Amino acid sequence: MNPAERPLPPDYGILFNHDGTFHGYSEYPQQVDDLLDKIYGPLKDTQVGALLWCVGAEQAMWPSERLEMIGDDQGRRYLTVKDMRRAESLRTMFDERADLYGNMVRRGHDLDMDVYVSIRMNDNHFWSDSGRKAYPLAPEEMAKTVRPHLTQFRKDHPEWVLGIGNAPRWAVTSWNMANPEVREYTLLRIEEACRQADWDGIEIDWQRHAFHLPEFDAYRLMYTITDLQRAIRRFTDAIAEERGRPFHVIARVGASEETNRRIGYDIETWIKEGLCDIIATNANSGNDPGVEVERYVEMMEGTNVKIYPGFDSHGEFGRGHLVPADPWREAWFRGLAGGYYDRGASGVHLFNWHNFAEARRPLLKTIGSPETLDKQDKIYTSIKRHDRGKKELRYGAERDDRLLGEAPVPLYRTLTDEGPTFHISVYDDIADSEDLERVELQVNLVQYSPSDVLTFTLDGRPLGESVPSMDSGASTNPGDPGQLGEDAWLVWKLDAKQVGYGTHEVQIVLVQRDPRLSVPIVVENVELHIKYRR
Amino acid sequence: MTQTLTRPVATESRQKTPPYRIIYNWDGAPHHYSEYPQTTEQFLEKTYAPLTDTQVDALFWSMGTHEATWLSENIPVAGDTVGRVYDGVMSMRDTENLRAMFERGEDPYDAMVARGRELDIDVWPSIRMNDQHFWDIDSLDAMQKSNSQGMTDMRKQHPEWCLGDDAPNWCTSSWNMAILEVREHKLDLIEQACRLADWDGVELDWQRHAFHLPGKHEYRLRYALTDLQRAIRQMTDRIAEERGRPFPVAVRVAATMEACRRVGYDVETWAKEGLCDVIIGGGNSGTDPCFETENFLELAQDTNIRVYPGYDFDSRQMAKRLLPHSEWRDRWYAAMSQGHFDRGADGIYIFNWHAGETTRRKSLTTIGSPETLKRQDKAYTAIQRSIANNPLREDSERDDRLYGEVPVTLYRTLTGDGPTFHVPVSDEVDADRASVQLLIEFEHFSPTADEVQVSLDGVTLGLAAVRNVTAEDPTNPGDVDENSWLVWDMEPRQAAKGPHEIKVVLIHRDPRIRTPIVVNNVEFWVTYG
Repeated sequence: MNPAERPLPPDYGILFNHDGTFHGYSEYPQQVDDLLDKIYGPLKDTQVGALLWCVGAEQAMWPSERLEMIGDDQGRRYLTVKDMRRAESLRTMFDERADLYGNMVRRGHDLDMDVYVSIRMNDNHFWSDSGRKAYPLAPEEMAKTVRPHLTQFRKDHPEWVLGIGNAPRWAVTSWNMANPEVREYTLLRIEEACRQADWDGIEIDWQRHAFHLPEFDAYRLMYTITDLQRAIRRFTDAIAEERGRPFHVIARVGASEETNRRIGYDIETWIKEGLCDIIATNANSGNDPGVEVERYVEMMEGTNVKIYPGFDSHGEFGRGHLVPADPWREAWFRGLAGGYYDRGASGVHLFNWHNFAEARRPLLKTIGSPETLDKQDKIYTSIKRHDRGKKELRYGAERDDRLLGEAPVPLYRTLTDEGPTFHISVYDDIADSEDLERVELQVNLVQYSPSDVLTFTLDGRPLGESVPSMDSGASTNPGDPGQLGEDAWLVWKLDAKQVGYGTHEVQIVLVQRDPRLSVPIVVENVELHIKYRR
Repeated sequence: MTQTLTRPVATESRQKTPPYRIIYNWDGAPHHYSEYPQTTEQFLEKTYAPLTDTQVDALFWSMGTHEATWLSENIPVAGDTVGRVYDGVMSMRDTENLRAMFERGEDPYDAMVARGRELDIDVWPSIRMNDQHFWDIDSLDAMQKSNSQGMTDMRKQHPEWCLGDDAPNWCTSSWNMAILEVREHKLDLIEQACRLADWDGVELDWQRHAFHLPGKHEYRLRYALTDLQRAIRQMTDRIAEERGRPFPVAVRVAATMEACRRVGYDVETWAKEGLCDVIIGGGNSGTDPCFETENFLELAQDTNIRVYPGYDFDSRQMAKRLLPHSEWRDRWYAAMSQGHFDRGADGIYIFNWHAGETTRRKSLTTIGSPETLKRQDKAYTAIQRSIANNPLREDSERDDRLYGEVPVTLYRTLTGDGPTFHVPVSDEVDADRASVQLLIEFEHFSPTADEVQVSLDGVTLGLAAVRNVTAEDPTNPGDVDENSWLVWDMEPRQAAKGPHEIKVVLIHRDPRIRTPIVVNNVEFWVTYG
């Protein structure tokens, strides 16, 4: 089918991915209604237009003649009560013919939500088991482990996983999608999942986790991933033909073209051939705010494919700011969402928010549309790229995430009186807004001493003295008797005219370092806070 | 405490550098091409032998990187780090021949520039910004105990100024350019080199080697490299002012914008601020054919910056081809040059060719101009990216040939598809009456049982001739080889000037072989009668 002739996917506002763990959130035997209440309760009367229900990574979450069902790998004797509840509640629903997925779709439709089945293409949670916290599993060790969800099929085929040297160490037991047998197996799993209910479509979650091909061969082997994406599309087209209505395909991929190329997603071909209807983005690990919305929109021109940038739940974002974590994170998401819409996004995708959905209902009611984001407080930031240390179990998880992160960065003295420049894009037109309460530039410096001499410029113009705010997290933590931490925040109250709509440059130059300190200052965060009157 | 600072803005328009057809970088090897004591005349003859009567218009002479190759007052002079007692006779010749010139009161750099003038060749010193030939040092502890030539006391005394664990193992002892003291040292060394003779400019060879900042922090710390680049520009501007003529700056950076970002080269800022006059692109290890001529020209738009694709050695491209490698190599460089000129490049840059009076002359007399490339045989190829399995140089190709399409394993697909290879042709093959062949090399190919389908620009090709190197070698009794080439004679219109897509699909694999087929090379050969 000509991609331009494919049916336009509905405007969803928010796509809400649920990882499926709620099977373990009730005592055995969980009732279908109980599960659906838990799932849909926080989503009701929000801007969530579609639920994407994850049916696991490899085992069938349904009775299957050709695939292992959840619990089979452990002979239905589990390592934890949680695992037992999750697997046995699900199995019991099928034993009792409770039509779990049919009811899930119907409940969603009753609430004006579409319901998609979501497939994690290469989920890797096998990195360790209780006895292996220190070092991840190796392919040759798979056969002997009792780690849940590790199927016999994988144990029997260590030659079909990526292998040591071809991926971060924790991901070496991920499938190597270049192997046709792996693709056939994955397609089988997807076909069975799609046939479980009258879903509105399917999400192909390539980003969970984003290691599918040997690292240095990913670009040239991307035809193999496209092959699977194309086979899925053919299959879903066949379902659509049978039932007489579209069966949409969402692909969740990386935020940037460079990320996609490095992993092996040939997005340009997918769009050109119409292999998906919606592209959602995110990092392999956490949020990637570096979504190249304009580039996606450019590739999608002349097609009906839509772009939905994604937000993960990542807990580390939000902590350690002057604003407490929750309001900080909410304002940050609002800033990002507003920017995405202005740049051409159709909606946003949420991943792993299910555990916090109730608490985040204010966000679920605002970030699904540019109209509801208007005149909402926002925080715009320079992109931050954090990388875990080499000794951490999941070292390398962020390999392809947030590639153009500008912070954190050590502030070294220069020969030419220059320093790092941070870019912050603002999508609120506040220059002449009468509703504005205040605009602040907040810069977080680690290992800062008041004896240090620094210069700050905003868009080439020197900033004056900042409001000293040396207390870091100390003032936001009433239980901490100290007034000072290792880091500090410098705050400038800005005139709205200094922060017009568009991209702003903040440059920081180290003129003189406190000679009593041997460690460099690190610029940890650079943020613009916009607060409206209530 | 904060302080107000005004940023200087470079606004003056700069003079364009001369239009060099070929720039030839010499790594300094001619110092050991003669027995000790080499005369300055012998040295000049060896240096200029490959360049005379060619299209080389500029010689970029590498001044080394760790020790001073001149009589410096504050930097160890070549040989000092080993007390002038060497590991081998070549090292002794290389260093002592140079020192002997200075001891005799001769100045090899003045003489080099003067000889260049006679030959109409401009002469620039070339500085390797972070050369790393301490292969066997894979820890900072080992570095401090090392007796390698070039391992200066400054480096040994400051392991905290080196990359350490934040770099591939072989670059452990590379300088961390984020450290101010390292940048100050490099600036001092470069200024001393620039003041040695009446050079025509200076090359900053950032690609030798391209590991300057702690891993994964390169992009955010790029301001540190820009700082040094800017400081060097300010210094060369002062020299230009003193001598009353420009002292241009060339930079050798990575071949793609992506690789530049990954290494930490903020080339956009360098172009915008006018921090260089010539941009050269090259791999960290070997020739990188991915050079993004159009993107670099776009950066150079509205500036006087010239853009040069760079060629390094070609051993990674060696294959069991149906003609001798040296002949194929000439075709390959000719094809790439034709393509780069078509796309707007100003000339060609050569690195580490180590040519002599008679070697590489065909290329050096033809690839510097589109006119002399006309009707030259060529080999247009899909980009090859090989990752060497050398534990001493782990990750050396990390940022090179990023868009390599071969070699690629040919797997069965679910949708009857396969890998697509992009091979642009830049010759007017029809008008110039060239013959054209498409050649695809398959490794582990079983001609009687494997079935592959090959299409060119969406049109399925018919039967190909199956050839291999063994059968075509009269000294070899065999008729077959592990690798086979499928060869199609093309109609000129099939290989017309422009981009071409070749798709290869595995239809059936010989069930007796468990190893997959690998597509090693995909090439158009353009041959003139």
